[in-house]
Amino acid sequence: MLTTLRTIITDNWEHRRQIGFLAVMELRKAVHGTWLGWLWLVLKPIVYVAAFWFALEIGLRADRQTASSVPYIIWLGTGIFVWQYMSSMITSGSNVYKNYSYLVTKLRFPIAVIPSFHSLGKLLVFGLTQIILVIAMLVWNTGFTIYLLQWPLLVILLYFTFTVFSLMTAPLSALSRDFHNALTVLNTPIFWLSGIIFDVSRINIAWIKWVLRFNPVTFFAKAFRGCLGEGYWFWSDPLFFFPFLCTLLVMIILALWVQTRLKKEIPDVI
Amino acid sequence: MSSDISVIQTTASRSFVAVRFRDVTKTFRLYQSNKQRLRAAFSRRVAYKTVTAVNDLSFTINRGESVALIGRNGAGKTTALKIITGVTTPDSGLVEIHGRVSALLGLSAGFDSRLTGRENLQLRGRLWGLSSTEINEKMDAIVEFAELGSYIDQPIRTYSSGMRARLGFAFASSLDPDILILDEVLSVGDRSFHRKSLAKMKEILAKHNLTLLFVTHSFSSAKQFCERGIVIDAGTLLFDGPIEEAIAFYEEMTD
Repeated sequence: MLTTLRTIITDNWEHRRQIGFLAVMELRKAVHGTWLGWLWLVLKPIVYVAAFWFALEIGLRADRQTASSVPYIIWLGTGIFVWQYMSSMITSGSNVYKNYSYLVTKLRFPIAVIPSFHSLGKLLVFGLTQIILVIAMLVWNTGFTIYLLQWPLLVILLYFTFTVFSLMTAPLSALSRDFHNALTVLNTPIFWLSGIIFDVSRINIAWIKWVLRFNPVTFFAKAFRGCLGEGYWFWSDPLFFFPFLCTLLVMIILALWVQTRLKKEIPDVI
Repeated sequence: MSSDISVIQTTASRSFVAVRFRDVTKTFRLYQSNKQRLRAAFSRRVAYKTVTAVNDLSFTINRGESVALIGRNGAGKTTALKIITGVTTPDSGLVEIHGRVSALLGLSAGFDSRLTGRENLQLRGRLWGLSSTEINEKMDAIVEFAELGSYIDQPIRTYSSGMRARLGFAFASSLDPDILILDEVLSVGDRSFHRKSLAKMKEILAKHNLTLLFVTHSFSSAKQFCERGIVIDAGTLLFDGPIEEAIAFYEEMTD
């Protein structure tokens, strides 16, 4: 597994320029042949936030069920924008070897680099949504705090976590459509159960609280809220940060194991 | 399965040997179902059948040689070329590749169907290690050679297989590779493009001391610029010699 780790790091370093170029190509593909072009990349998350805001704040009055002092739409948008990135990595990030089969079976290209540029492409879209969020914060005059300084760290951690997730799941999806279908099916329950649209700190059932502490989706939704409105450092509460680190460590070990075991088989099965 | 594998890949374009296979074997595992294949990722006890695509194959191709790989469908030609290209790894044996390899494997030619022809050329050029200036310098000549006109700015998914092959060949041959691999690519172009491609191949073969590996079922093309033929059947080398004799051997074998 150490050899695999070394290969993954070396391949990614040697292809760092191509990773940037391929990530931009990802976005170009997404807007090809569209009249509104790049606007489509942000329209979907915006419409998503607007629909949830209307249903939850106007319809269900859910804004009263968060402990946050920031406007509910900002609180909701922070969670949903980061969810959009995580969701796309759960569905398409876990299927990169099939989606980029031409790089796997027709060209000499290191397969450990494919999750990196796919993840970066999705992260660029996330970056655009963060600009929208900042504009919204200016409009609602929520103010910016020192906790905003942790934003670059959080983004790097987000990118790293879900690139590892892609390295871990994409070889298994290449082997089995059932595995990828299972992840796609789980995507919606993960959204509803992970605290994207509700405040997990208000849950009173102890074991559910513990389970959610190990959920990276819950971690990032909460951490970005701490950064952009609620005001806390993501590492300040060990009960919040260390369970996430445990999950990340398990994901890294599994990703290395899966890559070691299956990397030679992937071009033969796609 | 043996773990006795060595793959030596260098960019030494002056080495006398371009490609060497010594006792190379490649097998594929066939599982009863996808479920079994997924289970096999976690357990070594899952049963599977083994298909040997390349069986104890040995040959040496020297720098500047043009070699046609001849054989029936499923004989192992494409697998051998994929091993040389580096997209698949052998189970055992020694593989040496000296020089940069440009390959056109199959009719899709390794393009992303959602990108335009121009974007694909930019992407492939970047992956080859060219700067955007170098790619732009080559662009006009490639587009002109591929006869794509304004189609170059349309997504590849709208191209016919002939158009893809033309673009793929125009690009692969423009890179000045040390080793050029063409797998069935020229079989889909029309006659005029076929003639043009053959002329281009002769030109680059003469100019750059290129090593060519060619898979085709068109023996007339093979005869025009390959001096050597290797006949493969069931992954095993049956004949290695002058192209005329290789074709005669194959025709006799398939009669």
